[in-house]
Amino acid sequence: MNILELEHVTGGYGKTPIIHDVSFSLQSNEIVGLIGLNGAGKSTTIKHILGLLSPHSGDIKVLGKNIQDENMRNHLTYIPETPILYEELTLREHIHMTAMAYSLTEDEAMTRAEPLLKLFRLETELDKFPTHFSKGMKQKVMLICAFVVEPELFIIDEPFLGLDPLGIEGLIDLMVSMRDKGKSILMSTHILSTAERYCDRYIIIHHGEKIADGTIEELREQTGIDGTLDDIYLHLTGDRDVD
Amino acid sequence: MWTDLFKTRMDKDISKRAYYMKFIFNSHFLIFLTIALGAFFYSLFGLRETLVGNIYVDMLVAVLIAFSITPTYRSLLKEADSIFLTPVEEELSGYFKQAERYSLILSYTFPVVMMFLTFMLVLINHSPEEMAVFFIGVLVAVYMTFKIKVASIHTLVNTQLLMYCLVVLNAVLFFLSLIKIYFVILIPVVLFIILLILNKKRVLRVNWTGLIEYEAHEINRFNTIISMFTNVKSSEKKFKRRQYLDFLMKKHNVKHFNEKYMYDYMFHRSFLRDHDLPMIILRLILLFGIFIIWMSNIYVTIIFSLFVLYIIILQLTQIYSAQAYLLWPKIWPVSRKNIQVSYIRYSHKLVFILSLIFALLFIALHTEVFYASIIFPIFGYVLNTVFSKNVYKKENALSD
Repeated sequence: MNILELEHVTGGYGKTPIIHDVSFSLQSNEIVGLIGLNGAGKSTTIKHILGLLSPHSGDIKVLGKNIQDENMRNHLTYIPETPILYEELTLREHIHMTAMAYSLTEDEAMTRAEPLLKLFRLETELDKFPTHFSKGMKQKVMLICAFVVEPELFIIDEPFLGLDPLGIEGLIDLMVSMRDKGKSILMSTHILSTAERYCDRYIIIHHGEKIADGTIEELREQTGIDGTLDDIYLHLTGDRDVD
Repeated sequence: MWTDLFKTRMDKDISKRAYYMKFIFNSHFLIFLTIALGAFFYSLFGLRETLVGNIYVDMLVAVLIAFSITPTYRSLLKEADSIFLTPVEEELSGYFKQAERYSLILSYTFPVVMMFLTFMLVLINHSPEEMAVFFIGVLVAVYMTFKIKVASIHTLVNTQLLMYCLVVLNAVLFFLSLIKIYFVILIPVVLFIILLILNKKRVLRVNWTGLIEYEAHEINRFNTIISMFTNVKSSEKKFKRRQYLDFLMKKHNVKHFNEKYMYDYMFHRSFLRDHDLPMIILRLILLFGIFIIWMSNIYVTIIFSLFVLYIIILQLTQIYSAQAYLLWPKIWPVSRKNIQVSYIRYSHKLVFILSLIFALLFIALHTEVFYASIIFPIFGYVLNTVFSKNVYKKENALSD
């Protein structure tokens, strides 16, 4: 079953389209890398999926229903590239707010949070204000809040930015375990070597258009490049820039 | 060239002030001010004879004026200036001279208003000539205190602490001048000596970091004052942990641990941990409370209590605005309507508690007409409903 489906989506800020006719889908049990240069349209695509922007044309569906349907947001969580936290809330209160938003009980949320707090070494920081944390720690707070929910779809923008090596390993383990539980993860990233190790599939966006979509083998076949994801990516985007 | 840079920045700052003044001095506020000033001067006029020879009147004037002398220094420097302007530091004397001139004019505003408000008190124990000499002394004190503040920024001295000390020193100097007008000469002498000492302690030609930080602090201070009356664009909300209030946030009712009440949970914390809001409300209640008790006039009590409630309710809308434009309410699977419902529920509770304080004060002062105190909770409820609706309308208009 398609967890997420984009059908011929064209959109952007205001009337100027930034992404053009983008179509792709995510099934359960997949980690999909959304790859592109700065300004390629990855974040715009994500904003459309989250319902923060309305497409000029095309449809976006989560579990077969339109994303503008408020209840559909129950099925996804989002981790932004830059941590966005409430200055007035402690880490525990961030977890509480998330729990209330996604109809979890306090006990349920704290039970789910416990291993995550241990994983990211934040178990002693529960009653502190995350806005006083380092950037990496703030990102971990975002991850904890998202993974406490355990929705069908995770949307993660540049997940590895600011994380220490232990944090990166922890996040990868989490993503893999969620995938194994039948969840889908869409992550935009520039770190292709890491993406290559863990993503099942890649969607490459360039100048607002999807230029490739497939597993690493499929991309090798499509491009005729028998190299790494980096080589394929450079080949795909480099050629087009020359054109 | 650099004076032009300052002029451009100054024009922008002036238009920003003019923009917000329009909101502050709206017709309602001007009517209130006229009535309040009328009541104030009328009551003072009535008290004149009983206060003649009372030394505490002079002390009150000295303290009030000393508190009003908190000069502002607007260098209008920006963070990027520490990179782009430092190479031309020696050519910037024109820029800084203009900054001093502009800041000095701004610094005179509050003391002049305070002199206007207290002139009748001064006249109780002094002749008009003595009052004129005293007020000249005050104007000199404003100038000298301003120069001292500017000088201190370029030293290692803690400017804020120095300013607190100067409030005390100025109060003493003003009080001495009011006891014996010849002491007015002490004002320039003492303050000049402090200025000389500070100039000798100057460690940097231009303290870029200090000036830029201080400018940010001044912008924040301005925004805080303006936000008492209206929403300030780009005003960053600051919060702080008040551990002594943590007991009020201990446990959320299990029945209310859901999406319907999540924003009540949020607003409660936003309010109690807001950097300025609870303290501004406390200060307003204390200041106006003292004033109301002092005047002990039924009309003054009603007008001023309603005015304080008006300011408080206006301020409370900040906590709603801060929430409504954030990212998470757009991502969470919770209706945005819940933010409004929670805000109205929470703010009504808060306004009711605050209006009770004024109602109790009113009953204590005017027991014979205790029933009139019902006006405060009703006024609070109606005004809060009206203001909340305006905020929702604005939010709807701005949301994409």
